[in-house]
Amino acid sequence: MNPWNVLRGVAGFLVLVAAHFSLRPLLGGPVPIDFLCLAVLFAAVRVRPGAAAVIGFLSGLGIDSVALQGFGTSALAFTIVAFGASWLKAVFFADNLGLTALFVFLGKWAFDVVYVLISGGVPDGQVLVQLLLWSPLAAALTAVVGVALLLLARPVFGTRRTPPHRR
Amino acid sequence: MPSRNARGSSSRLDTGLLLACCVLSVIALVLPDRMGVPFATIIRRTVLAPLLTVQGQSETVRAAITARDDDLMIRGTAAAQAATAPALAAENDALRRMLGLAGRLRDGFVVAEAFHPAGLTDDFTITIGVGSAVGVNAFTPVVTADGLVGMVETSDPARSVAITWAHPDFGVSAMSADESAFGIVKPHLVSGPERYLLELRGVPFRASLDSGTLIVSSGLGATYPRGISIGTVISEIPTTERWARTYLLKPSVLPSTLSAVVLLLPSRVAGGVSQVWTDVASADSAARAIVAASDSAAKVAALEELAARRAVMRSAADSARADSMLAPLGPAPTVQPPLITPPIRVRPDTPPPRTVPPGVWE
Repeated sequence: MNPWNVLRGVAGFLVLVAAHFSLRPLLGGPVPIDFLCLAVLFAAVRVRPGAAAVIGFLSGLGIDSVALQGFGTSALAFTIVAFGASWLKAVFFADNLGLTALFVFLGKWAFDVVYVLISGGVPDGQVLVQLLLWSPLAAALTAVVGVALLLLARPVFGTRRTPPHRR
Repeated sequence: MPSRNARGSSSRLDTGLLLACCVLSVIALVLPDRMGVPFATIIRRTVLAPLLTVQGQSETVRAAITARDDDLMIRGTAAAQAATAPALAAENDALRRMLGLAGRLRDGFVVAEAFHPAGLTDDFTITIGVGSAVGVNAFTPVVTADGLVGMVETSDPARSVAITWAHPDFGVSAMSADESAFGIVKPHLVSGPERYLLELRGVPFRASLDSGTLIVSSGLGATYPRGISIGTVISEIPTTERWARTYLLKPSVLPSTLSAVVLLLPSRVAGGVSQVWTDVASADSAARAIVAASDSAAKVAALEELAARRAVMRSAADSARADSMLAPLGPAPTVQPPLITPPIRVRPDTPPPRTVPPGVWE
């Protein structure tokens, strides 16, 4: 892998992680933008599924350490989502804006589904509302932000590989 | 191109990492709190420490923004309440004085809400929320605790329209409180702010009135009983008449500030209202007595009745306004026609059916 690509990927990942802890609390609102999910998804499509699983696991573990309960829930959810995203990266070519939006939407929604079902933190009567209303809304907003990021900083967040250098 | 073995090895490695991560996640999930919390604490205090610091600052900024919105909302609410407080205080004071007037009149009157139906009539008429159903008919005097407002012009079963002292048709025979001078009080028909003053016309030349002299109704006529406060003398107006004086009066009541009025029924008019307005000391003491009464149930009941009546009349006023909005579209049966048709028409104090002392104030 080209070191320049690795550097860009790491920078993009760190920027999104920083946005998750700085911009997301500032924006507030009932439908938050999940910058960490964007970071994991954009990183996952750059690496092999195994590495993507590790990235997702560590990211989720960081989120779990902030939560009061359900330690390990986000780790498991991000592991599954990141592995799946990396495995499907051949299908969802991330330089296509429409497919990128769908990719991020499905990734965020899948994370919410796994998280809600495993954690059990949502009351029974509100699970469907959470999964069919709020989660899709948050996923859609996150997808919009993901597409915007791709438009603004395609070299950082895009996955178009540089052609191999011929000797 | 990687060989099949290499691809298989990578695939096995990916699957192994996935399984390892999943197993670790499940272990973290099933760990008891006393074992999971230390791990979380270590992560928070090391890797996530700077990020959590940034998060705390962002939340502080967010809270400041939200607090500013709340602060602005509280300021707006306080300003609105401050704006309405003087009006409420004035209305409360007017109601207290009205209760004092009611105590002095004892009987033969009706208390009603007065409002100004914007768009239906002019500035010189008011609508009163009672009508002939309670004995209010044309020529019924309308007063407040401060003095004379006007008289009822037309009366429906549940609503009346009254002209105020500023109406061009208004006229009342009047006298000074010490009965040293008599005359006719008419509106001061000029342009500008002085339009809302009164004139005391036809005062005999020998009778000179000082500034500040209280002018009351003389009772010479059947509409207004004797002794209702009309206004106070401001100054003499120079006229061409050599045998009589005309004085400019400051009215006792400002119709634009009216909220509740008292209508004097015929029995009260016949009985007279002497000393009700002229004896200021007794009026004040009566008002104070009512305000300071230990048993406030009657006062509360009266105020509640006024509030309920006001609510009913507001709804009636709203419907009347709605009708007025529909008026350009066609004739509406509930809209009153304009009340001032001939602008300069002098109506004597005395209504036609009654007997007027001959040749006194004409």
